[in-house]
Amino acid sequence: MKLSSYIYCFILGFSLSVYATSGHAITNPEDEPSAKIIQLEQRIVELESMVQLLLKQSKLQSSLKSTEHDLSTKIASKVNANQQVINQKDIAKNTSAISKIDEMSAQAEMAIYSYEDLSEEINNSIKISGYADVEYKGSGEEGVNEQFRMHHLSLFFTKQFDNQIKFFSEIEYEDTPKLEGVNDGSGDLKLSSGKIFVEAVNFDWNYSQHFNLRAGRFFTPAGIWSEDHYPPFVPTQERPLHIRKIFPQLVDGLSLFGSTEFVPNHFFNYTSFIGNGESNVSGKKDLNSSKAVGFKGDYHAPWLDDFTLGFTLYNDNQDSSNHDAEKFAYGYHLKLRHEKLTVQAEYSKADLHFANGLDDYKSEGYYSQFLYQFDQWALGYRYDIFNKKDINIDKVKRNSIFINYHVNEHFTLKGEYHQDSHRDPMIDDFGFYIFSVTGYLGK
Amino acid sequence: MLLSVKFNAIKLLFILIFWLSSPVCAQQMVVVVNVENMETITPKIIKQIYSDKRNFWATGQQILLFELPVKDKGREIFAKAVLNKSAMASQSDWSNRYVKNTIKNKVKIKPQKLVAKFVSIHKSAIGYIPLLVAEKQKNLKIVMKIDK
Repeated sequence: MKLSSYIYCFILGFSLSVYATSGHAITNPEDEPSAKIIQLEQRIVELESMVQLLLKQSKLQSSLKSTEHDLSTKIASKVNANQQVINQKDIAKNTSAISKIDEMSAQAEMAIYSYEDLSEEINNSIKISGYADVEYKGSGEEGVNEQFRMHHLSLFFTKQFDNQIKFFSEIEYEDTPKLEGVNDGSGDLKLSSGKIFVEAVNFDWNYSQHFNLRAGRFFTPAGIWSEDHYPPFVPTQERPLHIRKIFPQLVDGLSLFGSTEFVPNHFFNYTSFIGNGESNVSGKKDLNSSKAVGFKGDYHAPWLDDFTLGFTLYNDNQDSSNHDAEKFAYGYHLKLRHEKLTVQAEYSKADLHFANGLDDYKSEGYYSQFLYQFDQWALGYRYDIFNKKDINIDKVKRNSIFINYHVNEHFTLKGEYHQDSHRDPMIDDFGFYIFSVTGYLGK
Repeated sequence: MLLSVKFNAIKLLFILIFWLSSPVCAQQMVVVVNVENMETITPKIIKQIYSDKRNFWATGQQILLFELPVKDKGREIFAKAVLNKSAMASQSDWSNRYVKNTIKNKVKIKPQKLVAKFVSIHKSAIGYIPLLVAEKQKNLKIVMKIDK
């Protein structure tokens, strides 16, 4: 507003001066006309200079304003730009974090699937495990030296084909076998010692808890020790006297087995089997058309920490290993565990009837074993009787004491002493000891 | 005299520290199954599963069983509480069943976090882990708590 009024004054002054110079004077009878003109001219000059000043100020102001506006605009735009950059950075950061998380979770998922896949692959591939033991044995028996014995090296080859089909085998190398041929092309053996023996080779079809099938060679399901005999997991290297002498060691044939919970928490396990019967060639052929059959039942009750009571039946109408005798055997077994104490007992008896009826005999065996475990130690005692034939003269009694130290779950040190008493007066009673190290070679 | 007093004081201090620290170190273990497992699972059933007496769920599905490594303290706690034997003895039992060819269950030995993960993935799985690990994993159902 100020600027416009000044401009207005300037225009008024300018018009007056033009008027004056053009000869039109404002007549004032009291003033001199020339003095008035001079005054007006001065006034015009003053006004002009004032206007110039004002114009300059105005320009300066407007330029300041525009500069200020420019600056504020620039600052605002700068701030906006910065904010945008920050926002964009945040978004970028979040986006990259989210994508990283996505990527990592995808990787984790992949890792799990890969692991499962690999695990499945490993499960389905052939697995090798085994066990080995070394013994130092001494005896009070005359003529028997103290000796080291590389007793067992057994290898297990197993394969899980799928959820239901499984292969299992055990090859035993006993007493570090050595076979050396005569190098003349004859194929004759110059030297042979030890034993290589395929103790197990079988296929399983595991259909359900109640019904499973096994075909091939397997340890005779009889009592406890027949199957449960592996050195790393039993307290003595010496097995009870009657084991493998009443029931055969192995069956080449077929087995049907399963388990049922007939009352809640009470289980009955059964194993029935049919096979060639006992002979040295049972893996290849049966020497007679008669088949050996057997049945083992185990009752597991929820009493104590473990409670198993069972029985075994076995029949072979033509036992090739006993001159085709008709053999019937049966047995009972019991295993109890209460806290650190385990009690295990087996009794079995075999009746053999020969064609002539004169050579018939009965074999009988029994043992009771007490094992007390504390920390990594185990102490035990076993009382053992075996009567090969029911003429008492063959009767042998054995008292055994033993100690185990479990270095870890797979490696055990053992010490055992056995004292034998023979009913036969011609055989001296004697004792023997074994120190051993045993190791399970599996996972 | 002074020495014996000092010695007793140190002994007492150690006993006190041990007494105070033991509950802190003790980890509460829990037995877990997949959240979709609708079975009634009692401590007796857990014992039967881990003793290899039971290998199928009531639904007919085969049990997938997880154990912790023997050196894991949790395994010792579990084995003592459920099986009343040491972790070492329980692992020996599994190895023995394997070589006897009488093993029924599929047992896998995995560390705690993997047990939690696998049980959360597999409907037929069962395992035991510390409560703290179980709480961090989704899709798990606690069926038994074991205090040391």
